[in-house]
Amino acid sequence: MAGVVLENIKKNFDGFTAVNNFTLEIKDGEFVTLLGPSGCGKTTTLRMIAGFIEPTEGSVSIGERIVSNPAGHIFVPPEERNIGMVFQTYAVWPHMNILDNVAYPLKIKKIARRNRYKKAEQVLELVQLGGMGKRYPHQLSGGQQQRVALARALIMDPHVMLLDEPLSNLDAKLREQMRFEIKELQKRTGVTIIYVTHDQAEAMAMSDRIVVMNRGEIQQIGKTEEIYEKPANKFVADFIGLINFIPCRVSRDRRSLFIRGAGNVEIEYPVPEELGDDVLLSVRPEDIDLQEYSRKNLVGTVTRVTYFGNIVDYLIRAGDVPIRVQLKEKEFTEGDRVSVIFDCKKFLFY
Amino acid sequence: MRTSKGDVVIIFSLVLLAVLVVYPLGSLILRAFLSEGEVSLDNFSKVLSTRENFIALWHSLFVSIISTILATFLGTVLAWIVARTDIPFRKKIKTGLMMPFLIPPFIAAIAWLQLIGPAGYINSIYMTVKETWNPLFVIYGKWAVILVMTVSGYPFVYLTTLGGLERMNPSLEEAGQISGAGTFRVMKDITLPMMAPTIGAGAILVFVSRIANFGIPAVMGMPDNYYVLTTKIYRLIDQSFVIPDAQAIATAMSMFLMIIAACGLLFVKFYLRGKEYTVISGKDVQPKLVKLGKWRYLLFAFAFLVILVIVVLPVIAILLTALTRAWGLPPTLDNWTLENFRYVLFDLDMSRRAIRNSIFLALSASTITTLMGAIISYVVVRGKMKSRQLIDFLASIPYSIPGTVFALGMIIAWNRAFWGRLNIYNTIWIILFAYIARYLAYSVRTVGSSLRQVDVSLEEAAWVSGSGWLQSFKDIVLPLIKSGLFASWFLVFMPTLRELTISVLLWSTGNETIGVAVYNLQEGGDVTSSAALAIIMIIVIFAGNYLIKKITRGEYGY
Ligand SMILES: Nc1ncnc2c1ncn2[C@@H]1O[C@H](COP(=O)(O)OP(=O)(O)OP(=O)(O)O)[C@@H](O)[C@H]1O
Ligand SMILES: [Mg+2]
Repeated sequence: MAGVVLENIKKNFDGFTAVNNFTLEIKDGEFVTLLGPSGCGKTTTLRMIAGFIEPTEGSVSIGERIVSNPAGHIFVPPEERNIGMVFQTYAVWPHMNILDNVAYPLKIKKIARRNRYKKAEQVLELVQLGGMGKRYPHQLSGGQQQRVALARALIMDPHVMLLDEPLSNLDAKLREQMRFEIKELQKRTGVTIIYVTHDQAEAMAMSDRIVVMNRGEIQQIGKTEEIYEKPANKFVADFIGLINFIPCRVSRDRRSLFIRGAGNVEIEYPVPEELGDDVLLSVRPEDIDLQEYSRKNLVGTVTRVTYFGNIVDYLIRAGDVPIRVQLKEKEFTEGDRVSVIFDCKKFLFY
Repeated sequence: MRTSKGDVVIIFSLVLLAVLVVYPLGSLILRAFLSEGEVSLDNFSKVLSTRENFIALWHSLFVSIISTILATFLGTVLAWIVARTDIPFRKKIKTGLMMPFLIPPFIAAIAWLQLIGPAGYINSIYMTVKETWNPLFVIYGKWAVILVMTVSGYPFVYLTTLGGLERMNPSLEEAGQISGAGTFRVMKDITLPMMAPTIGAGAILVFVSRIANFGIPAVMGMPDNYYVLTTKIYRLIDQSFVIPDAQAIATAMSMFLMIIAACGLLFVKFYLRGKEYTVISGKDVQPKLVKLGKWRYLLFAFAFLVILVIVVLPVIAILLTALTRAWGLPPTLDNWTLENFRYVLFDLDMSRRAIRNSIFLALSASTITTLMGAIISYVVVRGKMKSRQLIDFLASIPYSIPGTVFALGMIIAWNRAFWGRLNIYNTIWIILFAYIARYLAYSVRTVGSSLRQVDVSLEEAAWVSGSGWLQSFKDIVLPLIKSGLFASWFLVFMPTLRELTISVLLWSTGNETIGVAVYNLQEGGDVTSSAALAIIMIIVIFAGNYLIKKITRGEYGY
């Protein structure tokens, strides 16, 4: 096992910069997720670690060893990096049975037939596919094939495991189950995992740390709670979970805010000097409460109610400002006039 | 209302197919089992027991198998180079390697004869330079046949393998690499085994097309008395006035030919196609090209050399011959002339007739097959009845069996007068009939695939708005499948224009085709005129290919 260090990585594809300024240190045994919208450079980053893509600039080290450094003319090909990888399309070889698929990395290492099959059986046991070794991939379900891919990556005792949206081809239920299995597996084996997804729930359920990316650059690195509660910028706040952005003007004495689009309703809140006079008040739907209509608060009309079972999602229109609110109970219906109460402790500004 | 019209179409299609396909093939099969008026296996035993006949069967298998092995090897290697390595000018090489498909095999054979034959350019240059009477090498008979069969046959494997490699999910190879396997280990353990059924399918197509080929063994083998099934059948028919039983033996031989070809095609259809791995690509992965480093230019040179030797040199050889005053003179500038072109285009009645005939045949065959193909594929795609499969099956038969066999069936079926005076034998119509039947499959397939993209609801919308069946076919379906119709027309026009195998058996004086003219001139020793006519043909083919590629935006053509 080993950590991974990416230093100042940059990747250009004929003029287009897919990844830029990327620095990240991953500790041994850590579970780190690259999260970001489609096309933000997650796969490119992962494939630079694997060695399928050579970075334009910067260096990649696995453990103590530098595996990519164009400035120093160092490039270790993928087959010499001892990395396990699980592909989105499983990439289980259709012409080999499950046992041969899983044992293949050991065959390359010239491990004796009997030993490698024994080890393969053990790893199959680990991913709950014991006894399936003689089957062929087309006889397995998508989830089972994904586990074969996991087993094949695990068998070589890799320094690092890379997973590129490994669950995106599975149905919702199986996806949920596999999340926990992968996490479980990581705890048991202690392998370092770098995981790519654009599904934030997946990222939050599994990761020790999340790296939020946009347009090829890192937006924030942090633990799940940090990313959710203290987003580093507007992009992260918007991308992770739901959030309301409400344009406000700060009062002269900087002790309150006026909501511009809603008749300049005043909210008492001490605003730090460095934020300027015009701010974007950001607040998550669950940090807002709705109460019976009362003149002294911000008032709005319920324009949409969606019942999700565990929560009820309201869309309120206060003047020109739309506000999403999530409550536990269904207390109001469309057309109701309500007061909107913010939890000021949770305010964020951008 | 609609069903009754549909029935009319089905009956019409079935009658047409009965006349064009079932009748000639039925006659052929019947004839093969008939000896002195009785049903027997005599004809077959005559093939197997007469050395001269049996040996043709053996030769056919021998040259086809050897050239298939060589072509498969060549095609696979070239496909891998083009699909998986970073050689320079990859796109150009990719197209260049398909060009042998455009050169008719018998013309390739003539060209190679002029290149490497005992009196060919390479030997004459060698003998002139070395001032010797001994040629550098003598390649003729079976090895010459194998050589030309290989170089004109590899594109089948090249194309199918290239397609397979391009469709293959690159993650499969990457998974091998990340497991620790180097480039060549991945190739051996993953790429090759996964491609095996696809390569196998390509190989069998090569084999079937080789064993069915007439032009190459006719040009390269017959002068050396090296006979294969197709050329033997041709000889037997040619001499059926002299040799007793010739026709009966030829039919029995054609049965062997047909069965071998059919076995190959059935094996592909029912075994290999099922084995092929459906390898869908992931969304964000393109095949990774192997960085060849210093090998880059070596492999490029190899691919380039293949194009040079297989396409460029033969065409140059035949062009030189066409430009030379007389065959045998050194092709130097002062011996150059356009006289040969003038002669075949304006002087020689036979070649002028042949050009007229071939254009007539190609125009009518492509127009008629496209119309028929539209109707039949409409029944096939839209129909729900059992008859649908029957029609599809019948329409695909003539293309699946060797041209020589089908032509023989036509001879046996139509070699008589009907109702006292209707006799198409020895007229141009028998060739036209044969072409229509043989190339119908092209039309049904191309038009069918474009028809499949037209949703039936579009038509239903027209019926609902009150237009009749024919009206809606004309207003809705035809415009939508226009490009398919066009492609079908062209795909029939091109091969019929250059056709030899069928017409060489069915022609008669006055009804020659260009292929027959080129072949007869070559056989008769008028090599330069033959070359001039061949060059004209090649120019038309390449121009036509370019045109269809441009118009269909690369969907058809090479
Ligand atoms: N080989 C390439 N050549 C040119 N551009 C590329 C190449 N590979 C990726 N890109 C571009 O780089 C950017 C990042 O691609 P990447 O595949 O890393 O995105 P991603 O974050 O994995 O997206 P997704 O969630 O859709 O998988 C995209 O804009 C993509 O178009
Ligand atoms: Mg990706």
